[in-house]
Amino acid sequence: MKEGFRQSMSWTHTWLGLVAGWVLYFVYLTGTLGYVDKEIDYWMTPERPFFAQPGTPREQLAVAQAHLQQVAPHAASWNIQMIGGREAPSLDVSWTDASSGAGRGATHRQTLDPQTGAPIDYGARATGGGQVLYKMHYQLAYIPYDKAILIIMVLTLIMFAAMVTGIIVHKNIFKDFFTFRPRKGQRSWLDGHNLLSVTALPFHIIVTYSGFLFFTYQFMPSVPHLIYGEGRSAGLQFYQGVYPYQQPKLPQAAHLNVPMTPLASLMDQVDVSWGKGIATAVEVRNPGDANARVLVKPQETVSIAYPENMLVFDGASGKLVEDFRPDDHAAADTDHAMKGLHKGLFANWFLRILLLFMGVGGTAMIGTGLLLWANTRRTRLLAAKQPLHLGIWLVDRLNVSAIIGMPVAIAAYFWANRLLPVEMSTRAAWEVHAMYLTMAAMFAYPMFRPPERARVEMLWLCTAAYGLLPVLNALTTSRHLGHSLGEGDWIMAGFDLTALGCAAISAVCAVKVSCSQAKATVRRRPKAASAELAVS
Amino acid sequence: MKTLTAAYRWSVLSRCIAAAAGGYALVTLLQLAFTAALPWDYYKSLLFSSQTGYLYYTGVIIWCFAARTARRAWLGLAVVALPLILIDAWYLLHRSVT
Repeated sequence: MKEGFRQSMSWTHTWLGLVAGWVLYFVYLTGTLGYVDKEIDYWMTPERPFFAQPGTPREQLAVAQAHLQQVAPHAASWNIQMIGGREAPSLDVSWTDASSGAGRGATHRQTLDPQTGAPIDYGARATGGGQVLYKMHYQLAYIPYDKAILIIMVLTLIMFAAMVTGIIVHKNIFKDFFTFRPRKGQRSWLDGHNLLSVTALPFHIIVTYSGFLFFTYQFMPSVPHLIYGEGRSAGLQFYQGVYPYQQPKLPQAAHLNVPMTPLASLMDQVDVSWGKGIATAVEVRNPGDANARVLVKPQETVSIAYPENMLVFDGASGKLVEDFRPDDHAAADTDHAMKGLHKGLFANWFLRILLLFMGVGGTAMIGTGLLLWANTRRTRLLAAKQPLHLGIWLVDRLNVSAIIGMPVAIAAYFWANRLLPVEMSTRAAWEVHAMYLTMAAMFAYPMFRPPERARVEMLWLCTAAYGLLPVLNALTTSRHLGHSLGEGDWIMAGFDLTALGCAAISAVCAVKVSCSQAKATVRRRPKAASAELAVS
Repeated sequence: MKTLTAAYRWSVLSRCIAAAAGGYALVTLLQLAFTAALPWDYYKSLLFSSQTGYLYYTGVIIWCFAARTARRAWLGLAVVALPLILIDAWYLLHRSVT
């Protein structure tokens, strides 16, 4: 260790960052994509129809009710998911048959045309979609779930400790907000690293710390086991205490047919209680029965902690029976709020885009940190006229592989979605295989090529991988950019435009890197570099 | 660049073990102490201790790398662990009696 508190913290920050950096880069990257998981789902199932004029919630409810009344008048329950929030881009209904003796009845799903109520069977391709992609940020891939989350917990701890030590190292956090000195080599990288870290510091702290709370029980099970006893029942007892199953009290079916009140007529009361456009999901228990109950549920954006609030109506009379709010204790509320902040389900479009930018900023923070490790040491060794050691050789190559290769691998996941045959039975699995085969190639490539060259070549590959995605989309589906922009399909168009944006950034990086490398070769001996600062 | 001595390398390894294993042990001890000391239902104290647990863990990591020597790092952990062990031992004995 070095002398002095700040110096030793700088050492700790540097090494914690290095040991966990590459995987954390992947975690931040795929986790950031989780903020648009449903949008990625939508792009990856281009068969899914888009409805430019879905109609008001009342019209959608009327259409859905008419359909359900016809196909399943005596079901145990109905579920209606309206177009409106992020939850569904189409009007989806499902119903569960009344249980016949043992077990629950079967559940059926159907997408409806929101205007005519005609059933639509669009036959979506099999895909992992955004769900499989964002779950990699804690499940990784090809590793058993229980092992993967332990790895992630350790990495999260390292991330958090690296952040706290990073803050300690800083003398002037406020000044860093306004400090960026471009084209100064090492200094610029450090400024960039600091700028990315401090501008979204609360975000980084919150997502990292709240990340812990998902798997604390699995990470430190000894005290719960001591208290509740070993085995599965320990976890059950703990979780039942923390999250007691809370549901409004609902009566049994009376087995007396009474016509349902029009669901649309309930929305007046819902608008009074919650405000317009908040409710997008409706569940009906025992439809058509004298004891029918209608449960109206709010959108995810209604609050950070996403409590299971519901308005309960009498299905026959249409009267509001209960304004149900689960009652949690403070520790559980904290838990819900922290996890809610982590998932970001509460965010509206503006906040969601901010979250995306902060996530990308965090990814870049990790990337610049990794680059700094190698740059600092290379500069110092060159200044002392000493040979570069194996550590720098390896870190240089792994940096190129991870920082550029991982985004390329994610692009491969999207390419596979469009290129694999639609009827292929294992296509969802092969999307993931395509991603990791690409990643393996990306890790192998810089090992056989000078990293300066590999860096530029891979950046151009990344540019092509993202820049051509909209072209691929246009060639393989009918949902090209012109079409989606014309229709006002902003999710489909947003994906294509974001891909173009990524390609543009990658192209700028490629040009910059090749320019600075050209200059460096002209200068030959980087004398100026020796004067630059040392980070640690 | 100065060459690193074997003693320095051992010191780094020792601190890493202190930070990782020592931190894990200390937070576990603390978790049990919270359950013993807080007048709440078990699941609430458990939830509270795991919600705050990583702050202590991070504190331990910082201490282990900030201490002047590796020996001092371990000593510091022991000083904190001792009262926790006493509380936990008292609690476990008391609990098995009642």
